[in-house]
Amino acid sequence: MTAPTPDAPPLEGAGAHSKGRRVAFVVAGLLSSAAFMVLAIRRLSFADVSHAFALAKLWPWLPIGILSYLAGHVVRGVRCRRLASGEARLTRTTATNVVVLGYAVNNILPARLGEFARAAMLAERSGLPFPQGLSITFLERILDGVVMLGLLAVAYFSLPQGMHHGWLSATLQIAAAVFLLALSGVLAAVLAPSLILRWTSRLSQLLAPRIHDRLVRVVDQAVRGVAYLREPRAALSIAGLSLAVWLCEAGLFLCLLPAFSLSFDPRLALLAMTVTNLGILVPSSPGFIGPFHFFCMRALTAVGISEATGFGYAALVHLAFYVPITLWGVGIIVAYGFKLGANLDAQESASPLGLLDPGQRFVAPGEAPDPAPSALTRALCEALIPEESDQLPERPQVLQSCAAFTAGQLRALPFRLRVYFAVGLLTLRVATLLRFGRPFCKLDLEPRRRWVEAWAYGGFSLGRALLRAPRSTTLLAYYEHPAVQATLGVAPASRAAASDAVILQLKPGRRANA
Amino acid sequence: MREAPHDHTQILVIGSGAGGSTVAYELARRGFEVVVLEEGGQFELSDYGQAAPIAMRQMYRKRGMTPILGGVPIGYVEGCCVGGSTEINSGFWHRTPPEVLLRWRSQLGLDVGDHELDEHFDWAERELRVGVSEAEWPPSTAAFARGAEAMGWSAWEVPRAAPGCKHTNACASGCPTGAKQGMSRSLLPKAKALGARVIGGARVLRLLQRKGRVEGALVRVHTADGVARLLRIQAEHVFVCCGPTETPSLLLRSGIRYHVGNSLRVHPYLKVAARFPEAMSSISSVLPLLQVKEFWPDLSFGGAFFGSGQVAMTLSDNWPANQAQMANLGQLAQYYVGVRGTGRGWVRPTALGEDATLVRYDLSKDDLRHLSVGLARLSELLLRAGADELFPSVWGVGPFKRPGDAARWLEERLPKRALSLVTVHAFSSCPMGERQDLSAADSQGRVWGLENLYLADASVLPDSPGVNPQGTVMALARRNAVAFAATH
Repeated sequence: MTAPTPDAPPLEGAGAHSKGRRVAFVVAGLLSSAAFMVLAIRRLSFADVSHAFALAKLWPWLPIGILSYLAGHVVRGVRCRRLASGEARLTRTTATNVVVLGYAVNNILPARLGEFARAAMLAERSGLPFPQGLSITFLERILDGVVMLGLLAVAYFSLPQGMHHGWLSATLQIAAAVFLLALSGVLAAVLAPSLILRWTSRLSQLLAPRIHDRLVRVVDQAVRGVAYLREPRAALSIAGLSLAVWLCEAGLFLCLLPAFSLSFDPRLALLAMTVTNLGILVPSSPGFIGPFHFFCMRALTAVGISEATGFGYAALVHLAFYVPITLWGVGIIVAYGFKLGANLDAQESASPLGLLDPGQRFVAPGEAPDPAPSALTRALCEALIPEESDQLPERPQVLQSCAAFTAGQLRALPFRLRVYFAVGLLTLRVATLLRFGRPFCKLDLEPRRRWVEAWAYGGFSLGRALLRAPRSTTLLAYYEHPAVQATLGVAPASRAAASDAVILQLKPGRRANA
Repeated sequence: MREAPHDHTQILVIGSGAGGSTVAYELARRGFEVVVLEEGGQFELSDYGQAAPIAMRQMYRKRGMTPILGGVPIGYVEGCCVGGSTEINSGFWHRTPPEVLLRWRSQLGLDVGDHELDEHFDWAERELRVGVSEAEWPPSTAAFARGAEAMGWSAWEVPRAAPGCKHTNACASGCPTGAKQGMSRSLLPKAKALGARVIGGARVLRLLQRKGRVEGALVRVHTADGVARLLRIQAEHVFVCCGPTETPSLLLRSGIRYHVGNSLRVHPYLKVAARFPEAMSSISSVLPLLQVKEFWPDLSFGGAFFGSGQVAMTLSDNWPANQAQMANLGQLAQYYVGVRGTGRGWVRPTALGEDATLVRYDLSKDDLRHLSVGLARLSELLLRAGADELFPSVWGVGPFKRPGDAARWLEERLPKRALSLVTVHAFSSCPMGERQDLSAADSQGRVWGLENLYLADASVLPDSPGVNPQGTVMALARRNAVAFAATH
């Protein structure tokens, strides 16, 4: 794999600096792993652990658990693909491989270098700049953290009061503080990207141009990494996928409970999964050996399960967590000819701003196509176009064209107005539900037309203001559609008339009624 | 930043509309190295004259969705393509009225003499071949002239920068015949021939300053594979010519605030669709060419663009009652009441969301009075011209069928909440003049406090000129470019 940005010069000394830092990470990780493993096994009876393993019923629970875990990675791939979709086109398979590679590298290399490998592969396969790939990776991590936090809270509060240990409560609080802080940073990047970029540039413009350019570029790419979340529907879909990811992973923890004759209790699985995954955030060896076992075992012993059974369960979950993904990742490395060493330096190569390339053509905003209209926009447009459209043979195409144009126009409104509009539409939908007992989109066309007419042209000025933009754009698109213009006897394109038109000569100005 | 031949230029012109193109051409002609950055795309004649939805998407800023907020929201559009708004306007041409220059001198100490702009107007009119048509007026113009005569009001055929206009009714979507002298057809090709580089699809995010100078610009581009990139372009001198809303927005994004964006003025327009008994053929003709200036500077009447979609929008305020008129498209024409605009507004870059600009303008009481009186007068004119029915873009008002139907608005005020106003003319968001306590730039367009930053577009006009502003913008831009070249 090559560095993702072609104009990225290697920085002198950066390699040596990062190498030293990496060694320190590795040493710290190994020490941490050893310490947690000692904590996990110091009071264990290995005879009891062997006995627990001997009694374990691996079939069918282990394969089902592994399938559930792997399914979670496919969902992660879908999520990754969507997050990158604003500026890159990835297949679902590639996106899943990108995700799996990150996990596999984390299993092989220390200090969570898998996150960088994953960002680098994302950059290479999609053409995205590396910092943007890294930003998407970190965004996924933050989303994961927030979902885990929610699941931990669910597990914690569903446990009996007597099991609310102090360390569990402390974990919940610390995780809440960390992830909510990170989430607020993401929200800022989602809601005010240009403001962040402006201030980065403004604050750094007194520094050397090279530093300014690098900062601006990295911040810009990081901010663009979260751009997908700017559409509320997209953000909701990502939230849903994030939940699905962790429910799949919880499936692994849940399926292995009965393998050790533990109760098939989703609360327990959620507790074990969330505590384990929060626990492995501490620096450790490749594959999180030590912290994984310690925190997983600790979660089970907190609800009265013996240490030997807890450790056996943790070791089995870890194997299911480690082996399949590592093998899959090795396959990816072989298949893609991936050079890990090259990737690890990519993070250092954020280049200065680009140069004007003579002759290069840039894409103007007007070249973006109309977006796909939502069901609501379509239903609204259908109610706004004239009733005479019912007679048009091309009505479906005309409606689609009007709805797509209107969706594009509404999306082009400034953010503040889009928020006002969204609130207004929500009001319309709630009012529809109250008035008709049915959602707006499910209303029959005739009552929907009358209802929209009452809002768009009635005496309620806020209703008129709300629907002025969709009303105008829909009617404009409708009457400019070639099929409709044909019914009005209008030539569809002005260009067609150009050659036959009268050519006017010029003379000095005159007064009409002079 | 690495050394490279194209990241540095002597003159960086941001914006390629009437002001930017004039500066680029004039300075390229005088031997300066010029780079023009334009946010919108570059189009060929074959791209022009498309249906309104396509043209709006391609050539208008934010697809035409740049409303001016306020007590009465005003629909505002401007061009966002190489050539700027000159690609989508009517090409109407006015010299700055002497009275307006007098007011600007008095209010902001604008250092422009009575006849100082004459040579620049002469130049621009030669370059754009400005004149009036010799052919018979189209029916919509003839009817308007008839009405003005019946009322005894002075009306002028307004000269246009559209020699050889073929009446394709496509001014608002780019003239497909090349008759209209938008900047992409007139000055920019000449500037390019002199070595200027024009780069479309490049949005300037902010100007980079250091020690009282602007040293360049931070530019966003999107490559063909959809990836956004940032560029830095260094320049010895920067001319910001992004128009009345984007110029102050860019300055504010760059931390330049002194009298920037606080004094926006606009010409609010109220449209009226008129149905005549005879065929108007508006859809296959040019917009009405006359303007009534009897009540200038407060009020003007003239003709508006006509398209099936545009007329539907005008009728849509009272759509249930008016939609049947779409069957009479051939007999319809559109006119407007335009007022000088004495209210005030502001321009701000948005803090939330993508990079965008928020604009606000509050109608003054005079504006509302002039709109009301104007509607009454224009209606009378059109009815006397023989119109059967008039459909103003005011909710709950009209249709007017007989002379006198609209007379109540001579005394009463139109209800604010019922108005649907539009404008294509905004000014004065960074006014220039020698009164440093009131202006953002001096009379040469140089921004106070920054030795190499200049403005040259409608944003520098001290207030509303009351006439189509392209001529004034070009004359002032050339005057200031010539003065710049003489001292650098």
